[in-house]
Amino acid sequence: MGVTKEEIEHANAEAVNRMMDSDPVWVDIASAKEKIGGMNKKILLHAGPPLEWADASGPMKGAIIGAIIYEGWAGDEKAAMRLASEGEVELDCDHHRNAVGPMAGVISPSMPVFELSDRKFGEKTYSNMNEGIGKVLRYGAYSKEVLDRLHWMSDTVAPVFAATVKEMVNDSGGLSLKPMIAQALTMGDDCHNRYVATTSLFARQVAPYLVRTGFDAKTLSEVSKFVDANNFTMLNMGMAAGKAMALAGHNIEHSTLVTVLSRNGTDAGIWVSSLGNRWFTAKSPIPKGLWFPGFKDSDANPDIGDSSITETAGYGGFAMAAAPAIVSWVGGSVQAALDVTNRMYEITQAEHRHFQIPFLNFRGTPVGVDIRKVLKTGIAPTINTGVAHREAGVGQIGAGTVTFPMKAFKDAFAAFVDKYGA
Amino acid sequence: MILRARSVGELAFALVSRSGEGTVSRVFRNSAYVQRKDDFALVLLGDLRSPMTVNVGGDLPMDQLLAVGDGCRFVGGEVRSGGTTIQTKGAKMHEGRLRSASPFDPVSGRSVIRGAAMVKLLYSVAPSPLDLIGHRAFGGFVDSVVKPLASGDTGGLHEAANYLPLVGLGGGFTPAGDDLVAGFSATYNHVATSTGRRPIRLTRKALAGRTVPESAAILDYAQRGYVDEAMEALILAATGGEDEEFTRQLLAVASRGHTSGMDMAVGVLLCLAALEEKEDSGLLERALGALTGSRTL
Repeated sequence: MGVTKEEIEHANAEAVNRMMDSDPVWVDIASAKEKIGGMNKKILLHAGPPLEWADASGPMKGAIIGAIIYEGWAGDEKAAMRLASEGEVELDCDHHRNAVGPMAGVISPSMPVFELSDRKFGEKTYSNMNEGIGKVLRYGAYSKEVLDRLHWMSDTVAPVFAATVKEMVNDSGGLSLKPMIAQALTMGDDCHNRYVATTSLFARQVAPYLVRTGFDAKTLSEVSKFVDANNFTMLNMGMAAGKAMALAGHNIEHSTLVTVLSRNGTDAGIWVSSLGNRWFTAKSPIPKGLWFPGFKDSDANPDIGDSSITETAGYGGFAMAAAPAIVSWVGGSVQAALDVTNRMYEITQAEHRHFQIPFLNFRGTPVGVDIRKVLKTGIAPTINTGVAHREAGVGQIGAGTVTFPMKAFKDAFAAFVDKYGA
Repeated sequence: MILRARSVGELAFALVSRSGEGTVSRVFRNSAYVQRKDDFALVLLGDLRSPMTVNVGGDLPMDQLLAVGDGCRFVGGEVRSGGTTIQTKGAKMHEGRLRSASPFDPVSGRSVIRGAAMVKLLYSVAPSPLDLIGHRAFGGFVDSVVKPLASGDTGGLHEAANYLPLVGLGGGFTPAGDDLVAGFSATYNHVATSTGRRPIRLTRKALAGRTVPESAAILDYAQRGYVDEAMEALILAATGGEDEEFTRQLLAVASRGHTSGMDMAVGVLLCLAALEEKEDSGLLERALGALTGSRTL
């Protein structure tokens, strides 16, 4: 006989409560090979479900090429492509290492990664640093300018951050992300595609510790300007926080809640709590949105990035009602933003205890996508996202929203039935 | 306001193409029923086709175009009521496919069990005041019709009294019990067409007074092989051995409405399980277990 409705409901309640109770704290930053296991070799982690080089989209290939050159494994594009195409560089998913990265999400062994520790449940999660917008590695650009910036981030920004967070850890255990996200949602961020408030809060909170690090004024000024110049500075850490929250709800027997939503630019994939690390995938759709001047629909790459971990954890596109200003970035109307959040309530398990939306009378954000409800309502999660050009090397062309493909949920539903059904 | 039909079902065409008068019997946001004596046509703002449907497009909701109780006239293929005219001339004709015989090749028992578990899983997130599967009328139907069918005894299949406890059960516009009987009888009668068996026939007289007139008509049409194209695809896949398509269509049908689609899907599954029992002993018990057991979904 199969699992009962009561067992599913109990499991889902446990899973979503763990997601909401998770308490991710930024505690360190160091190279991926120091922090993430198994990276002392030619390996690159990437966003989304498993991917072969031959199937990778333009921006993903561009990011892989750039990372190979960054690591010094090849001297130029041609040599890098040869290494990648001949399988001499191993590719693995960020999610397989409790890591996340926006857009291509490529993490190489030498890249600095933020380390977050879940104070409640003990797991550690990781993300790389955000380079800025426009022509950057995560959008598939790999010019000398891009690589020089990455080296500068590693040589200058990361050591300053490392010293800063060490001061914070000594003082209060680190930088707690959940209160910051909660506050940012009340300040007009959605914490996926709008991070103005979150980054501002970050700059405020680290400032007293930054100045205690002992670095010279010029270096501190450069790092502060780097943070200030990029509204998305906090995106990556916000994603790692979402990963910690989702991970807390993962591997709960009988639970039908989604614990990963992710895309690699070719395929989109999900994990379900009770089905372990098994990917359920479908072709990645192309977002609809607003394009930067000179770009059009046909330039857009299929959806890409681990940043939908934010929606998985109950913010991002699910909290669009908290961020009406976002429509100037992704298109649509304020009413449409409200409609997105309201629709997501129909497919989720709970209203978040800590993430609230002032405009909805402080109603908690929808959290814990339930595959049963997705199938029953026909409503799939809406993701807020940046959009990459489909060719490597061009970069971001705009931002928009996208609906996760239903096939992934149908396959997961069938797998759940096969495991527990009868 | 003039609405031009994109598609018209063969039953709807027969109703509207002869001159005469009728009534608007029901109006919802996206649809309306027009009645002519004992027959009904569904005017639908949408694309799901059926033999009784006139599919139209438009920006205004149906409840701003038609009103319950208003008279309507059928003139030259048009339905005229109040200030609204629905034109069917030039619309594509939709004909059902269940009335054609096709070899009976049921899907595997595994697909039936899996389908039952899927439907039960969907029921778990569709709160309803009625627990159809747990109701004594469901148990009575299984005992008097389904189990005998599984053992080769078709006597109970043709006794209207065995269906009537389900008819009208559950309230709502198309009660849950009606949907289950529609799914069961449409499936069985399609197989009957192909295998020379005697079809199930619940007359309008037997159904009268037990459920709303529109649902009685829908039930009557379903027995005669007139169902919407999604149900049709499900039944054809189920009886044509197309396991993957069956699962796909089952999920599509079961997701419809509040519980309407699930209730119809249960009817289809019960019929399949009973018919396949001879080849797969114990299948009906396993299917019922997947749907009803205390330790099941």
